[in-house]
Amino acid sequence: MRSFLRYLTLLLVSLAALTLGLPRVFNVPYPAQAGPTFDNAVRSRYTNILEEYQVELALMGDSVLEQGVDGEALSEALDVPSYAIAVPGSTAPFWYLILKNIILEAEPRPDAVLILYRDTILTLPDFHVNGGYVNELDQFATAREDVLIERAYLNFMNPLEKFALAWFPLYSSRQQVTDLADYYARNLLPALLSACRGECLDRAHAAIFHIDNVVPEFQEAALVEDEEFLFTARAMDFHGTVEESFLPEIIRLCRENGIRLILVHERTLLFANAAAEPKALREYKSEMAEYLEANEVPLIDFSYDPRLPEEYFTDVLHMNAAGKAAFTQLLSEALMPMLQAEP
Amino acid sequence: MIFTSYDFLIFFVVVFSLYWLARRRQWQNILLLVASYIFYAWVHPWYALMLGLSTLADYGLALGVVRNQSRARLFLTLSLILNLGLLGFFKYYNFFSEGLVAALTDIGIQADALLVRILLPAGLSFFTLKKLGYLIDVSRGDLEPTRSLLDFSLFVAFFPQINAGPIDRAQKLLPQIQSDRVWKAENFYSAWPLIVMGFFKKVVIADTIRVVVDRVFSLKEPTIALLLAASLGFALQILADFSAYTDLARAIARLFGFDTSENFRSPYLALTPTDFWNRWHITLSTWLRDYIFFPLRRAFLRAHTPRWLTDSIPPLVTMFVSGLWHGAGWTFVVWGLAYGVLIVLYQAIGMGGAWKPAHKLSGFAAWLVMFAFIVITFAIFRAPTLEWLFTVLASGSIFGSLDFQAVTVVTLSMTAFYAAPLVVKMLMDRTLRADSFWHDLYYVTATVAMLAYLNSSSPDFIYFQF
Repeated sequence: MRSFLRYLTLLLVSLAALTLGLPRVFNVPYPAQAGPTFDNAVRSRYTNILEEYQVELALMGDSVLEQGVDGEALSEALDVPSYAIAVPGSTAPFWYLILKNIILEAEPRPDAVLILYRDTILTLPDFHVNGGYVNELDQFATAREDVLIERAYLNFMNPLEKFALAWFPLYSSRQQVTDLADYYARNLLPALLSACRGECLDRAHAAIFHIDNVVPEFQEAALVEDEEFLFTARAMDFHGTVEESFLPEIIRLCRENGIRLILVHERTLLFANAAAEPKALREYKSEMAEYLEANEVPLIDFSYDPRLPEEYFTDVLHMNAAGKAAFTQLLSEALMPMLQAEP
Repeated sequence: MIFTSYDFLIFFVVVFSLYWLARRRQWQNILLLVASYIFYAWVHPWYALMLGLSTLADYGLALGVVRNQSRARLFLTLSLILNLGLLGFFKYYNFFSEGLVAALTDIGIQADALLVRILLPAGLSFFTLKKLGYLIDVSRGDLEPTRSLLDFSLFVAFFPQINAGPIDRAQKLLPQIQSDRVWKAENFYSAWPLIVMGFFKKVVIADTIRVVVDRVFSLKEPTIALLLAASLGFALQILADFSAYTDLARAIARLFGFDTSENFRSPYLALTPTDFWNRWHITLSTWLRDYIFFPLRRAFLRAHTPRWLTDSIPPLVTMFVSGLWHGAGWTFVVWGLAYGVLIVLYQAIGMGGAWKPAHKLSGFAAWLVMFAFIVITFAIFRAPTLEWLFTVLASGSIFGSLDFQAVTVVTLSMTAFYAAPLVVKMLMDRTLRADSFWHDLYYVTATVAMLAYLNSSSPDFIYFQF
């Protein structure tokens, strides 16, 4: 008992000292905001491009868009200036921020916005928003992103976590603390044994662990494992997720700003055909289609398009050059009548 | 549900409160059983059904063994078929599923890889060994089977142990289930250091070093030096991860008034392979020893087979089974067999189970050699495939470019940094009293570090997959 009481006393004293000291050391407010803090610098490169080329059709998506759609070929086929804002690993919160802070800020604004997505990604507000993705999001966020913070973070925190983040600097500053520990852990032996330290180590690390040096099967396995997040029971509950997701916000922003929103479901190899999909996913897609129809958002579905066979893919998601050319052609054919029609 | 999750925290507080409010043993056992099934069914309810049905079958078969002696062998065989069948099916499903998917595709039936992958129930290997040990002991007459389905079901499903052990025997756990338990402050005082160490080892050490190790083992061709550095990291990761789970499992059991078995005794200080297995995953080692090694050895002795066969086949078979138990893959099989070969070789040179070093220098040399074997065998264990390992070794590059050398030093640096707290703890345990001020200071530092490293998406414990 004595030992435990001594432990408890020492712990409380240590935590009190850290609560007082850490906000000063890391220069963070106390109590802190629950959820990440973003700086006010929005990457304006895309806004400049949209303005410079007077883009009429802006495409948003992740690496699938990057590797699956040839922007120039699409512009030529449609005879409409288009531009693809493809951010690898991006998901609905990214697309919401890009729409709000980049596309709507362009002058002139594009007439239409196309989002290339798959499965449940549009109604999953917490997919790819933690860890390294926070810095990625920061590139498109302003200092005040209440909707993002609430939908991508606060809604998924338990009360204990919210409390700890606000009032417990050791927890809210843990990224800085672990980064510091990580720095010492990485440089402990190099400081003694090697001339390569700091940036030299970072360069060596980047070179050795470059994606080209990773076994392709492991890349694919990691990809499939990551994608499983899209097929949990929660993810496939359309009505349970849609209202707290970014989809209604994206639709609202487009509608209020006179921008035509077009959703395109990409072709993937995650399931062999529609019949192989989980029943819950089929129901999700049906409910999503009804929702989009009610909101007058057109959906082009390439999910199991036989014109995009397996030979066009490098893995379960990404296309090769032949696939890119074929998909760009198919996409332009599907978009042509839509863009020609009156909004 | 995993011990380091928020869900578990809520679950534990509710179960713990109700448990000690219940007071009567019968109610406590019912509550623990219900809690164990909720715990187990948390991710996949279907698994709880499988657990329940197989428990029911083994309960009936165990009673059948004593009530109908003439058919005892038949009942035991049925239990073996049931348990090994289930274990084999689930354990090796993934091993065969790729071939199955390919075969189905060939005949025009499309199978989906995502669905195939989610079928492996956590903890199956652990509670299967528990049940098998029970049935074998009953059939040998070493154990009187319990008439209470509740007690037997709780023995099998006891939630602190169900996912990754320790694999306690019925002789240890059942008497505790059948005894009255009253709350004692001592339960808590013996549990809290285990909880602190469990969280610290999992959250701070295992989850951090895992990132480094995983990266190296996903490279197409790391150098041999980098492979060894990552294997050293993996040796730290697996010890920290698995011993963390055991610490937490033991602590939780203690808070419910149960004393469960130790699984680790400084395994990396082992001097011989036999010594290693007496210190590493002790409850699995003793299970394999009692139900595979000893019966085999006795059978060989009875058959008067040549000495070299009697000395070599039982350890080889036992360690082969140990490898296979860990997973369906040639890496695990070769890892197990490598230990079998090492045990046989050490016995052949007079360094068997009872060997003690004559002086400190020979002890140090023996430790150094054994530690090298441990790290090298973990390279086999962790390698994604044997082909990958052969490719790395055949590439012949030991240190590689300057970039490779830098990354190797960083990997060693990370391993040394995160191993240091465990080394310090071991030295403190050997030189200081358990209630010393320095221990408390260590636990405070560990708690602070754990809070700083806490991540809501902590990955599962490694041994859940075995």
